[in-house]
Amino acid sequence: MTLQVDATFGRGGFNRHAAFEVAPGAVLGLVGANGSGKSTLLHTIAGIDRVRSGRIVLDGQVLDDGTEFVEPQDRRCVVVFQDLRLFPAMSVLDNVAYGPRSHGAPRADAHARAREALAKVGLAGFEGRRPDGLSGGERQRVAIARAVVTNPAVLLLDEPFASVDADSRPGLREVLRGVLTGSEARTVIVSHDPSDIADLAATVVRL
Amino acid sequence: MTTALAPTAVPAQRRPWNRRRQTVVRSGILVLASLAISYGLTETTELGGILGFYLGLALCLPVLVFAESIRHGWNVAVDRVAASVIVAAFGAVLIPWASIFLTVYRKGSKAFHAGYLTEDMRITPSSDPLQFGGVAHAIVGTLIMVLIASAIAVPLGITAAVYIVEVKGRFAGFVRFLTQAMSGVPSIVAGLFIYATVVIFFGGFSAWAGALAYVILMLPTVARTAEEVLKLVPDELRSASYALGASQARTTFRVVLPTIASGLVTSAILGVARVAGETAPLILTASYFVATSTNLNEPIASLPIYIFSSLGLGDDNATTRAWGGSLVLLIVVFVLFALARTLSTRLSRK
Amino acid sequence: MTDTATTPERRRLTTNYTPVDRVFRGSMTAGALFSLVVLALIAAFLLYRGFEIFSDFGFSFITGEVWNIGDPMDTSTAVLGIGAMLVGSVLTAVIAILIAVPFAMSAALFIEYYAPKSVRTALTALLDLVAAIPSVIYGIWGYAVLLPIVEDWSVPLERWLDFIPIFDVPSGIFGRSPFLAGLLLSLMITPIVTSVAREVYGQAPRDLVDASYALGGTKWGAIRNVVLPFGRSGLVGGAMLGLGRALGETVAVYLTLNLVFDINFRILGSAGGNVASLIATKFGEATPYELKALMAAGLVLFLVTLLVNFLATVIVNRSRRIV
Repeated sequence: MTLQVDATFGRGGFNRHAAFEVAPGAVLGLVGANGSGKSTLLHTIAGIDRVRSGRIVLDGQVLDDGTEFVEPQDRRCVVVFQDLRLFPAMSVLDNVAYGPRSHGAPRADAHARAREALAKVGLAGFEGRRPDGLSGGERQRVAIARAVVTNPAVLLLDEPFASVDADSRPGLREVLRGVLTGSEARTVIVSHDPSDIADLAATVVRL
Repeated sequence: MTTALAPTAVPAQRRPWNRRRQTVVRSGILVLASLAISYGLTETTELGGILGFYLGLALCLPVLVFAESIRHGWNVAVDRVAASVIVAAFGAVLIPWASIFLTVYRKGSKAFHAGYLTEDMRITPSSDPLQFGGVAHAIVGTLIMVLIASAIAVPLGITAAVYIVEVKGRFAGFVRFLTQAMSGVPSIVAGLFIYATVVIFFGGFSAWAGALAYVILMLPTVARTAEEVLKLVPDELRSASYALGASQARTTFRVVLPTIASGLVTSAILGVARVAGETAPLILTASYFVATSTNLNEPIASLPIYIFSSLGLGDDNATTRAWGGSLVLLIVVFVLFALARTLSTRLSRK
Repeated sequence: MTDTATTPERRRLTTNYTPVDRVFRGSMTAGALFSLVVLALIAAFLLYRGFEIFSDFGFSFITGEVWNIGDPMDTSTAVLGIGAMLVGSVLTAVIAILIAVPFAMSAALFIEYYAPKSVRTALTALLDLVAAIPSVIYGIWGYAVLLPIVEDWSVPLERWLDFIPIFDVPSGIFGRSPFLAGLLLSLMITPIVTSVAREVYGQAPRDLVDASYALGGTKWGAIRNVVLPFGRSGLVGGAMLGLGRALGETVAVYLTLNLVFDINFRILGSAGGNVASLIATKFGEATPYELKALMAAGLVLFLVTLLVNFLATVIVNRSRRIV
């Protein structure tokens, strides 16, 4: 049932090793200095990068062990990127509904779920807006909603507080807490500032 | 014991290539002097007219500049002569283009009257007085052929660009090379090809044939511009889409293409601007027709052929009509061009 | 548990696409290869239709300078050769290049190094606009405005320079001449050459240029020693692109050059023609056999321009890669 990571990852001359387990519903914090490879580890779990050695296993199924490899779109992992990567040519609602639509959900269904997710992050009423018209904190919440709406098995958050100013941080922490409680996802949050995730993460791994 | 050092005067900060008033005055005098000498030359020799005047200017100015600046040394003199030659050459190049715009406007506007854009030539021979007849048939014909050609060439061009940038298939380099090769096909050869196939096969000139010749000419332009624009989409957006479980098809159509939609429209407009003024292919495919027509299986009028055929008649009124058509065509090209530029600046501003 | 003893076997990195994506990729491939099909068909059809001509005349089709249909009923009496036209194509294109290149260089240097920064975008936009002027408008202007000027000029020019054969005009008939056509073509191709030159000159290593200034050099010194050598191959590529365009130009030449079947190097005299205008002129009243000859001529033109453009692209790409 758990996500098991025990691998060496990195690109080029850069090499790191990490080993941990995350149970369903649990939140793990990944901390370390800038450049310690936290984002790369997230990308490797998601399948955007590959392991150098070792393995990543989810629910007993090997996602990547050097020989076997499951494509990103077939893993049930979702990443909230540090640079958010909201699709500029779509409304907020379409952005959030993108995941369900890609998995085959009919439009009405996907839109309904998207509205639910937006409400959960406190952005009810923002459906028709465009990403470039939102503040940093609002965009962060859209990105979280977009990730959460697909009910992923693994939720990976890369520096969620990075583009958020100090005033909005407590608000975002509340939103995340609300989203994560009651979620069955195995969550990994990356941050260079441990205090941001101190009360969200039960376990902390330092790279 | 420390001696107080008298502060040496710090030289005033100078930007090396900033024009100072002295330089401007000097250049002004030299230009005026050469103008005067050139004028004298045109009077005395057979090299008359504006061209002679400009040639005189182009010869005098460097000589005078050289004479004036040689006192500063050889290098400075050469530098200034080079500058004057380059500026003079640039000016020389601008003159004919300015002349084209002015002549087309001057002579073309003579053909304009109230109904010029709405009437055609079905009952008016070209030699008739200028208040009769118009270019409606030519505008409609060009419009029809351009629309058909766009409907074919734009999707195909974007497909080729998508293949090269998104699909990155085995033949990507080959397709790129082919698109380059196709962009060099002379317009008359494109017409010849359509003639050899479509016109002969279907037994006659037609608007279809003209549109297909346009496709051959438009396709490479659209493909090339679309490729450039597609490359502007950051890869992060694509990987974000894949990470959310989307297929490549969905990623391309819902994320990548919409992101640069205005760029794609620009590529279409540039393709249209390229072909709208082509004459040669139409001679062999759509030929010409004097009435406004929407029959695609028959010959059809077009702005370039309207101009071309009016010229061939040798009559003064006909020639003026040709200029009128040129003015309309130039305005069309100019509008398309302005449209494409505003769209592309909007794209780069995002 | 990680395996420590065995090295993992080399994995084959293949991507299995979903059915949706396989359809997507397949259709994009088909669409993209469409241009291959068209290009191949062009060559094939022209060859097919013109084949008879090549088999009847062989190489003399390309070198012969007589175009005589003879008896329309009996094709064996025809003598057809595009030699004069090929020479005309090359001659006008060469004149065009010789005139265009120095002016294009000056324009490019002016825009990049002499013009104030504020007007640079405006000038570039102007350049693009001028490149879009249709050839028929160049043609009509060339006939109405440029022709009288060139005619006026040819007289004294010929008088002074007639000891050089190419400037001698025994017939005394000036007017539409290869020189006029070449001059008009040079106007048409200058924007292209300038654009390429401007791109290359703008990419000259700025640090070398600044170093030249710092050593007390002049602007022209920097240009001559750094920018021009750097931009040489790019300029050649641009010139060849212009050459390709000039070789295939039809209407502008049609209106400024009479069709005379005589291999003619006297550029000020009224004779010549190029392959493209040959096709446009003869097309209207061509006999079926003559039509085939025109197709064969089109094939020759197509192959020549293809070669020139191919070389041009290679040179331009190579100059870009150096950057």
